[in-house]
Amino acid sequence: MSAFEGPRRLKYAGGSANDPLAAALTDVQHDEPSQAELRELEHRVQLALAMPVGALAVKGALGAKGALGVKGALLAKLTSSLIAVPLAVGALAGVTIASISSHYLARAVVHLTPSPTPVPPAYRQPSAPPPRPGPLLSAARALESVKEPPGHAGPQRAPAPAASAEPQPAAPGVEAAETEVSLLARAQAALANSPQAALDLVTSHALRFGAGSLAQEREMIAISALLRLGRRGEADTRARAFRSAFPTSAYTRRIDVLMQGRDPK
Amino acid sequence: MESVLPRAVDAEARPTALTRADFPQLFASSTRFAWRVLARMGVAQSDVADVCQEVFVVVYRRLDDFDGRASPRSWIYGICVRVASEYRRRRRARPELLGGDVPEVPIPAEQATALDRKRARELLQEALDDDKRAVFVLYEIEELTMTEVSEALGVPVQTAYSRLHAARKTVSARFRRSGAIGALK
Repeated sequence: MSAFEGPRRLKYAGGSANDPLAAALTDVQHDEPSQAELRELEHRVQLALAMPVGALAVKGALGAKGALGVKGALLAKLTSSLIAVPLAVGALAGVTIASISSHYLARAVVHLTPSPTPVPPAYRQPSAPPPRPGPLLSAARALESVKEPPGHAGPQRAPAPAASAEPQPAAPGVEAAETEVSLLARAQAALANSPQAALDLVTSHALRFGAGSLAQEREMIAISALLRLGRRGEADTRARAFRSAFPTSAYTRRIDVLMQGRDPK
Repeated sequence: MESVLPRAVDAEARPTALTRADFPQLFASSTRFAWRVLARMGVAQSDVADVCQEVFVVVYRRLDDFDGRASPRSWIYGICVRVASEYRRRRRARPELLGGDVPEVPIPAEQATALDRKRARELLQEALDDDKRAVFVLYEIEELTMTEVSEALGVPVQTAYSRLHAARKTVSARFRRSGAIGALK
């Protein structure tokens, strides 16, 4: 091992299975997100960056986003994020793609060898400021427009992956979904500084899209905005309606956290 | 735990630049470790999703800043550490928002292990300052090499070593003193 690998790690140094420190260090290794939390994170990052639904799916799953709808796109993304790690370590043929192996691999990747060359010590980045929506959104819109030029009537699509062999219609939902996305992205961006504006935006989303493919995201933003405005009763009503409308949603845990009385920032 | 995978694979590629096209791949391959690191760097369980979202927004915005001096993985680890520190500063500045994490009702026996785990994590976090905790978490728990730790944190390897030694000393002393950890297995 190179001199820069480091000393023997405490969790392997004890030699005794009962060493409490080693046990604690090994034990805290289990702080991983659930699959529902991962899915939710994908959704939220897409929204925060004003990316179209499915944008975070690894290449290959993109073509399916229009016709599959939100749930299908999520599934595709989930699958591709599970596959991503084994792909990255292509040498591992034959590993079953199941959450357990991906969990294991995600951790195993940590063991990969370092570059043998020491890096210049001066590398330091300024601490990250909190994200500002303005330039980010425009940057993200620029990204979107690269993918699907505005004014282009027919959405461009990557070749459909083998998994979705069904012929897909011209996907009229794509354009609507992107309008939905940009509207909700604006609402989400407004949340921190102007919850009232966020609430207005999601209200207009509800009027325009009703039970659109991002209705759950809209309700999440609405509930957060109401809480920030101190309108707890309305937030509670909306949260209850959400739970009965989407009992299996990945967002229900998040709603529980929001409603537990913690002021959201 | 060593040599689980063949070495020198794609995951360790050292690109000299990243573009937006790389973002989905970065995202897919880093969400789990980002989440873990945030949880261990003192981000409350109820806030990990928020802070993790923030990390990836920062990653996206800073793709242009990536210069290949660290691996993409070390770079993202570094962003996690900084965003977690920012978060802790915000929380310290607004202490009225603390609390709400620790259940006040008695914990059923089947949840005891999770609670022990939580206590161990809290102990690790209380005992160390931000700088030392970052080195400790990345090296002892995430098992980065010392080179990667120094890359992620932007400090010389020697500095990372001295923080690690100081952190180990503090943590060992703390664990010896604490009876709470006796309950851990």
